[in-house]
Amino acid sequence: MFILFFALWLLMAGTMTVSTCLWGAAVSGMLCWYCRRTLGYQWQWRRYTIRQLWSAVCYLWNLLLEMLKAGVVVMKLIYTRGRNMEPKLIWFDTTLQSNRSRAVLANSITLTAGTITVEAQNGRFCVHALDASLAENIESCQFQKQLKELEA
Amino acid sequence: MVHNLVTVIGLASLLFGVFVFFTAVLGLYRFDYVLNRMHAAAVGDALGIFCILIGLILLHGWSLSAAKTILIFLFLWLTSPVASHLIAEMEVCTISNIKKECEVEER
Amino acid sequence: MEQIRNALLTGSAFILAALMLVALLRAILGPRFTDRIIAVNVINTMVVAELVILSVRLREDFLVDVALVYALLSFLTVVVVSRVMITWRRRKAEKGHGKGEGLRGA
Repeated sequence: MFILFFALWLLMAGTMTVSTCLWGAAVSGMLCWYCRRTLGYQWQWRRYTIRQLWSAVCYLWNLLLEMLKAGVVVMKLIYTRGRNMEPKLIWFDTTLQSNRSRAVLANSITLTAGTITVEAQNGRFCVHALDASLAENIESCQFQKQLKELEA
Repeated sequence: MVHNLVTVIGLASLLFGVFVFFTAVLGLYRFDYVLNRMHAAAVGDALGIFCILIGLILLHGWSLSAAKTILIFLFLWLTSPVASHLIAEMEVCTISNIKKECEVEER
Repeated sequence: MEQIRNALLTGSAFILAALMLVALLRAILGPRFTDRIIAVNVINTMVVAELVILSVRLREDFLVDVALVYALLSFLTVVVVSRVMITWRRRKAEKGHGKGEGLRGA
C-alpha cells in the first residue's frame, strides 16, 4: 500500500528530485497509517503463484474483450429496438466463496454494458438485464469459471 | 510515415468514441425506463471513455500526461460500476411496484 | 496533417459540448429523480473526456490534472447522493412498517 501511494505521488509530481522523494515518502507513510487506523484496511500479502498471476492477466483480457463486445451489442440494440425491450430482473446464487472474488464478479457484471448488479448480499446476486437475450446464461458465464480458478 | 499512421489511428479512435457518446445520449432519449436508460449510460462510461482516451494517448505521444490519462481511465473503470450499482439499488429501493416495469425471475 | 488533426479535435470538442447540452435537457425533463442522476453522471463522464481533448488541443498539461480531480469529485457526488437516499428510504420504510419497501416486498 505504501508503494502504491508512493508511485501515485511520483506520477503526480512528475519530477524525481530528492526533496520530492522525501516529501512523498512522508505523505504516503502518513496516508498508510491513516488508512490502517481509521479506515481499517488490512493489507496482507498473499503469496501468488505464477499460474494465478497468469490467470488474472487472462481474466482482465477476457473482461476487456467482453466489454467491447457487449458495448457494440447494446449500441446495436439502441439503434434497432428502441422502446420495445424486454428488461428482466434475475436473482441467482453464486458458487464463489470469498468476498473479494464476489466483489470482482459484481463489478465485472456491471462493467459489461447490458447487465447491472442491483444487489449483492451473501452470495445472492440480483442482476438487471437490458434484454432477455443478454440474460440467458448469466450464472454460468465465463467470468465465474475463471474467478473460481483464481480462487483455488 | 509511422507518425502519420499513429495519428490516423488515434483520430479514428477519437471519432468512434464521440460516436459512442452520441449513441449513449440517444439511448437516454429512446429508452423509456430508468433501469434501461442506465444501460445506455454504462455504454458511454465504459466504451466511450476508453476509445476517446486511447485515441488521445496515441495523438499525444508518450509522456507524463499520457500516464495520467491512463490513470484517469483506470479510475473511471473502477468507479463507474460502483456508481451505477448504487443508482440501480436506489431505484429498486424507491420504486413502489417493480413488477410493472420488468419481469422478475428467481433462479 | 497537423491542420486536419487540429480541426478534428476542435470539432469533436464541439460535438461533445452539444451532447452535454442535450443530456442536460434530459436531466431537466427526466420524470424520476434517478433519471436526473443518470444524466448528470453521463455529463460528468463527458466533461472528463472533453477536458482531456482540450488538454491535447491546447497543449496544456495541467488540464489532465483537472480532469483527474473532476473524475474523483463526480464519483463522490453520485455515491454520497445515493447513499443518503438509500439510508433515508430504509429508515422511512422501517417506520412505516414495510410500506413502500420495493425489493423486499417483490
